[in-house]
Amino acid sequence: MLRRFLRYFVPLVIVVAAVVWTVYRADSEARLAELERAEEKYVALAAESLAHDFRAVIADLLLLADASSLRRALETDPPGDVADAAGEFQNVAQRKQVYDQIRFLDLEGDEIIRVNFDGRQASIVPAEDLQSKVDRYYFHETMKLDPGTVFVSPFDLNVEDGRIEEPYKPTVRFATPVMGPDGRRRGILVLNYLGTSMLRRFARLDVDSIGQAMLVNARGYWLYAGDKTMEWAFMFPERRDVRFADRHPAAWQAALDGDSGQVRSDDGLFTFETVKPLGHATADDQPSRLVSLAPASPGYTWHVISRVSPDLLSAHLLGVRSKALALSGLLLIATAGGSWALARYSLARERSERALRESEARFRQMADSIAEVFWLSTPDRRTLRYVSPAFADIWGRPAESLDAAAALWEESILASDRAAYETALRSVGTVDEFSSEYRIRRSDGEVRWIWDHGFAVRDAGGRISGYAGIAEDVTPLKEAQEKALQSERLAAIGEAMAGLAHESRNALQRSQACLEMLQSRVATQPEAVKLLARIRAAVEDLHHLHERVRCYAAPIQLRRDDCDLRLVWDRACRDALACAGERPVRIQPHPATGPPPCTRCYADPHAVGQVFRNVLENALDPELDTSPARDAVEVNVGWNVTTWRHEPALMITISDNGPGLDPALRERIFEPFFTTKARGTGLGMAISRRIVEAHGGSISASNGHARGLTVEIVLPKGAV
Amino acid sequence: MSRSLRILIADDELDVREYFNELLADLGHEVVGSAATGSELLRECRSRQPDLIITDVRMPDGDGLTAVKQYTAERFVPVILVTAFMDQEILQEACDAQVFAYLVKPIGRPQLESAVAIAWQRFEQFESLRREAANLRQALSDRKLIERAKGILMKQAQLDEEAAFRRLQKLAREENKKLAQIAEMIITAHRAFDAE
Repeated sequence: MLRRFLRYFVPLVIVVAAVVWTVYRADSEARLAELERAEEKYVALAAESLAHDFRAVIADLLLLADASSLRRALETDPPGDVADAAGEFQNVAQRKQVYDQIRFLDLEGDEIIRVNFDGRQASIVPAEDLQSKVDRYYFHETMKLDPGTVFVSPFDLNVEDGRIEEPYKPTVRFATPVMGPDGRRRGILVLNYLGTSMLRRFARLDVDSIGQAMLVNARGYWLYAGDKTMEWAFMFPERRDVRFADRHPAAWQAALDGDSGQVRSDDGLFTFETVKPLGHATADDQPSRLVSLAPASPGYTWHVISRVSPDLLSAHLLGVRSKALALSGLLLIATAGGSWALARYSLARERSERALRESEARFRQMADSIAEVFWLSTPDRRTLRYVSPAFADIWGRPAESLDAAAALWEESILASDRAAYETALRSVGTVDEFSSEYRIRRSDGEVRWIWDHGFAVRDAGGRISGYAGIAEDVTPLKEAQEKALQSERLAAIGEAMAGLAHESRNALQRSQACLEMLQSRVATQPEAVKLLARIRAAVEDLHHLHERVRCYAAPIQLRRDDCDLRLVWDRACRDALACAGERPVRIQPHPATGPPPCTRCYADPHAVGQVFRNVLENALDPELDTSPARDAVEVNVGWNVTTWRHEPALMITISDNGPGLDPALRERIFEPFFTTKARGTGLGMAISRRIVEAHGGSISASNGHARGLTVEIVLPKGAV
Repeated sequence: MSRSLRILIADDELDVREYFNELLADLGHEVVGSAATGSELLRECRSRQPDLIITDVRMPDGDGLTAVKQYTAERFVPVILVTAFMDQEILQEACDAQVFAYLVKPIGRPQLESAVAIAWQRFEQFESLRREAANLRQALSDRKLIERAKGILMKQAQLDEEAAFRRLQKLAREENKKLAQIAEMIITAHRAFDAE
């Protein structure tokens, strides 16, 4: 059972594993693609957001530089009341919340207006706290610019008093020259753009992304990495080597090679987009030199990168994997169950097949061994599908093929019985059962009675698909039937005879009566008396005959007893000798070859005595002896214990030295009224056979070894 | 055959009846009647009172066996059956009916002669035995009475057994009565006295 189970289970498991693997792969690919799309979307969005931020800042800067409040203040030189302008600046800072400082510096680099934003509140710095920024690079750079041109500083950490301000304040300074109403240069406007909020927004955009959002500058340093220790490394001499470009060189190379894309490596999934927040016309990546909107200005190039680390990637696919795992588990169970069921089914099938084979073998064995012909045929019975080997025995000739058998079958039916056969066949095809009885002539000329009996075989639809049947040689049965019929007829005759014999007694009585009366009347006439005596003798003979017939016809009622048949024989011999003529008779036993057998038998001594007397009377009857050479009648009797029909029996062999009998007549001596004697009823041997057969024995006649007739009587010993 | 018998014959065949008539007369018997049917047989028997009946079994109007069975119950006479039928059933019936002989037809003079002689002989023996048995029964009952009377005398008259018996004999002689009668009287008298 286990082997059978494994035979189904193992290949099924392989198939299931392959399917699950394929599904898993497809699923994870889909998940991955989904992820990739999410990352791409994020990166694009982030890039767009950055660019948008920068554009907004520049718009703010240019608007403020051209603000009417500032222009009014610049109507005079030095500027007049700048309170309005400062108020507007404060207003903008408060509203926008992204500007750390908004300042107006005059041509000397002194702060004229300064608004600080501390993260919550924007405030105007009083005049006494204003500083000079004349030494700052952004002042000098901006002063060189044409009006309408914007200076954008590199994106770095704010430095106050020569030290990097903590917490880090990533800042971009946007500056532009400010012109007076008269068109003269009056100073510059500086916006300290707080990168923190930009970066915060940048990080917040990754709604669908599971990757780590990063912003990398053109030199490969992280501006944003989600990990503070890696950001802004270029600002710190000791961390100069903490670069994205060094950590993920392959991804970095891909980011440098294309504007956007995705790369998967051992480091994870990288999705990148190159952002040029100040437009596309910049090729140089010298940030400090970058001047926006100036075609010749150096480039300002960032890379928005999302990294999905291998761990994260696999964690993301964990769902798929666990789904696949659950699926495999389920399928495994199902497969195991299925295999088990299959194994059970195949075992049951194999068993039923074996049973079928065995039953077929048994059927063959039976069909081959039964004496009857077993046959299978088409629904019209004309074509045989199978015929058992007994066919050759009954038909006396084997058939080479089924068609030959069918042909031989029909040919051999006697012409006189063909009509009956055809009649039986006419109903075939519609009836459930048919039978026919007919005679066939075998190839050796022998005639046999066949009883042919067929049963309809129906298919699943109930239609007759053929017939199965048995053809039996019923010749012995027929003979027995005929014999039974004959003996029935005989019994009827016997009964009639018994009745006749009874009735004749009355008639005989009347003749007897009349004869006697007549005799007394004619007592004086000797001639008449003689005639009367002859009539009387004839009447007596008639009476005797009637009595014998009655005796033969009447049912035999045996009074069996344990008796010694040798004694019965001896008495019969004495009786017979008393009736014998003048010829000498010698009755002697056969020469004994061993110890005398036990001659006791459970039999009716009177009936058996009658049999012995009948046999002896025939042997001693001088009428039967035509041979004058015989001077003495010799009768030999032999006693043997034998077996008759599996029972111990006594065989008595009585032979004489008479003329014997012609073989054709030998069997007939047991027929009633058959006699070779001029006088005799012809019932003696018939009665003898009836008596012996009533004992369950047999009696037969044969010509002896020498001459004469030998009668052999076998009587079962019975319960002795 | 010492004695002539009054015989009644029954057979449905006239030939047979005539034959029996002639034969029996020849044998010295008197045929007092003949019947051809069972009912006739019974009627003839009652009117003729025969010494012996010879009858067939199967006759029209009832069979002979039934008729003789009925008649022998009224008056015991020997019966000889003469019939063409021989079977166990009839034989058994014949035995039950105390038939004296059963002859199977055809029969002749010797069979009938011997059967009549034997049957009559047996019947006479039977009758004498019956009488003897009756006498013995009477003697036995007399003896019982005498013994009881003797016992009463011995007790009442203080006699020994012999004296008591002699007294009884004496009384019988004097009264000219049988010993048993005297004994009965004594027993009756004793019962009269003893009843108190």
